[in-house]
Amino acid sequence: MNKKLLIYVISGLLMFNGCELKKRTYDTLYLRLKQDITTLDPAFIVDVDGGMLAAYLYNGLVRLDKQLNVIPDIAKKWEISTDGKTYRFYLRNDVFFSTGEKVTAVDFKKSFERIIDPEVSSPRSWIFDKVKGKDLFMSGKSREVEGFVVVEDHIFEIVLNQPFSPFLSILTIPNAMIVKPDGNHGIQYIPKGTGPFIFNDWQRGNKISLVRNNNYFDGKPNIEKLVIRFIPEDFTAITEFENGNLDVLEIPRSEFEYFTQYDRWKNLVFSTEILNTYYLGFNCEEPPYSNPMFRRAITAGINRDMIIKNFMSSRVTKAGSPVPQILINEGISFTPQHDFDSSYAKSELEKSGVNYKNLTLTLVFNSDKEMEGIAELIQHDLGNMGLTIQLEELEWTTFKEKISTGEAKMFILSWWADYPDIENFLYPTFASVNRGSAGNRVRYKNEKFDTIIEQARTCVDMQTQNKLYCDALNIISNDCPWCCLWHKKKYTVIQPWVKNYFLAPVYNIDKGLEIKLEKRQ
Amino acid sequence: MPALYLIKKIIESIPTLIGVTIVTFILLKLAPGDPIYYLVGERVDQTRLEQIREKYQINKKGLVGQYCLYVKNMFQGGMGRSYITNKTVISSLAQRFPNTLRLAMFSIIISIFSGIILGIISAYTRIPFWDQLLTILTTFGISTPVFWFGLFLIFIFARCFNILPASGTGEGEMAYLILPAITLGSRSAAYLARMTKTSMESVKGARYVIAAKGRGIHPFSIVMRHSLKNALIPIVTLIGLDFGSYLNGSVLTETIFGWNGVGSYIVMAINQRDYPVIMGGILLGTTIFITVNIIIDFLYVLFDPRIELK
Repeated sequence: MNKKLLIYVISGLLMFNGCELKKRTYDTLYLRLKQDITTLDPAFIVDVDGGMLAAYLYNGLVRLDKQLNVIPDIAKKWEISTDGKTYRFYLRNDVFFSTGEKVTAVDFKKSFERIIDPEVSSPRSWIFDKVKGKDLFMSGKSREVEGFVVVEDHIFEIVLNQPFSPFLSILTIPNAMIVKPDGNHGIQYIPKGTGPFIFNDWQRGNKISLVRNNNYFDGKPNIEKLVIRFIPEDFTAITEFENGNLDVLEIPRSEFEYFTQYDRWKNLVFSTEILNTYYLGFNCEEPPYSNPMFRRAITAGINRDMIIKNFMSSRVTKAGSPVPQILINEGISFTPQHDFDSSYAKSELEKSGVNYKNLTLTLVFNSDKEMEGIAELIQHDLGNMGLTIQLEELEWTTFKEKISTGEAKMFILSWWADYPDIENFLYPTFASVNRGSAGNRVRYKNEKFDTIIEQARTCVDMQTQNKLYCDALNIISNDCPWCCLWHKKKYTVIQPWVKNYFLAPVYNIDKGLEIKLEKRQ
Repeated sequence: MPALYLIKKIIESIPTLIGVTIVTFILLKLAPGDPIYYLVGERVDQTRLEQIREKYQINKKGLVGQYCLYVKNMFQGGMGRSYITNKTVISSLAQRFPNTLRLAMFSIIISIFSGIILGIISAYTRIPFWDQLLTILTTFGISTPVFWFGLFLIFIFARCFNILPASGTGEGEMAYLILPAITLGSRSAAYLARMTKTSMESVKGARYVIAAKGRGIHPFSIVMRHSLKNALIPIVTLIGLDFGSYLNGSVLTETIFGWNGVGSYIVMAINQRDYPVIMGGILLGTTIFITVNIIIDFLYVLFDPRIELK
């Protein structure tokens, strides 16, 4: 019996040994993401979270500052030819990869060619659409891209087919960041970069850790390590934050009031406008949505102010056009989309000639508690106009497939900026060449708009360009391929020991250099 | 004989496995959704989209062709590659399986100990209090949803008292295991307690028990050596079923505690329509169930020599 008792005691002890929790250290910054990212190879990054990490690991020719201006990164300066077709970049000569090799213009050429290379199959080949010789290289008819020119070791030139105003902006996105190409590629591959942090470890589904690059050309970061933990459940993440195991937390909407109103946290909350637009999209190729008057009627029939006031509180700002206000410069003035006006909506509906009384329309949205509420409110508003709306809730992959194939006729979706330029909210989303998976999910086609937007993006004169963007925005306001709902803001809360924190409007601005933790062990 | 039985069982399991792959494959293909949209993001031109589709061999060659391709990939090693991570399915599952195994083992140990002990106590004690306590606890255990119980434990032990970690697997420390294991094991413990109680009561008046009492054997010994051993068959069956399902990963528990196991991985794969991973995961799960069932068959013989393996 005694022997048995001993076994029980020992196994009991074994169970609880190691209960002593390791204390966290304050040289490491802990962040949380809701789910694991797909890849860290710049050629394959298509999501915001992956892009945020890319900014820590890699650098491009240029980057964005906090005011969204394009500033030097590895290129210390650049010149643009008067015809707007040639960009000459003068590179710093003190930039090294984490392998210890010096960065030269050849690395840029190779990194950029990877994006277009059919063998690599990066989904972001479009970023170099305007580069000379891109098509020949992409179809395998040429062994190099003519437009990427290594002039000298530290002078790199990009030649375009035609002027392209957002090009510098495009060069700031994660896919245009350079890596040390070593013949490998694929989603799983983690290339060597030049960034302020060096990749250390990735436990898929659990966490990613990065360590400080002490030789970073722009001064080394204050923190030694950066750990990104993947915690799917909001409540669990909040508990980890409250216990001090996370330093920064994006506030989940379920706890928005708690963090913004509770004394302990409310002074540690940060918020920023981020570049996105939520919209109700219509498949413009299918009746009754092919009728602009019908689309206008729906747009004017939705009381966005009410939805925002009662349901979204201060987490969003109302959208008057597809483009967020920060991207619209003073020279652009246009008529915003029609606001809520039930009598106007009703008259447009009658004028449209659509026999709506015998019609049941389906509103498709991604299954999500918040979306469900929004869809119901829209259903209610449109119901008041006499329309019968049926709701269809789909999980993400099915939802995206239905939208890409055009099967969904009316849907709630959002568009997030790849780069901070007005063009990014108008060309991919409404130009008819981009119908379907290239961004124009509403399959909108308007030849006048197509001509104007093509002129605007290739225009070098600022004033003419502003005028063209005004015209483009007016067409969209009038045609209503989107009923623009709102721009979502981002809210984060930080621990009191986190200093120099700033919340960027674009995900890849922060390089993690300034932030520091001031707490003794 | 046992060796022959084992071989027979293994051969019998082959059609089951093939059947499972076919059924899963058809179900997956019937479900809407396309993995390509997860890979390409919000903006990709049509030519590149087709190139990527070609590269990943997504939706090629019709249904039969795809199934053959899948089987071919499976035998070529690694059970094919994930569309999303491009890693072999085997390596991704192998990375997570130890976590699932640890959680399953610890949960089943908790449920066996607490369930059987509670069951025995309430079967043997004549005090109504214990019986009522058992009824309350087991009703609570069976009817409480896992996600609620998990969040409740996090709230008490991590948020209020901060004595146990709320999520993650840490560096493998035991502390990270306690809350998820209790969450996962509680329901099984409740069932086990009920089952043990009924089983024990049914053998309480058996002749061999009365005979053992007559021989003056210590009551504790009667319970452990004679009654329990005879009451074990249904209990072992239940444990086997639960353990098998724990080894397949427990989606809710893993999600709540950010536990990087097989269950949450497969659910993620389903959301992303990552067909090779889903198929691999389900195949692994089936194999586990078959193995656990064979082991249970052997345990039956161990506990009741009258049973023969044929």
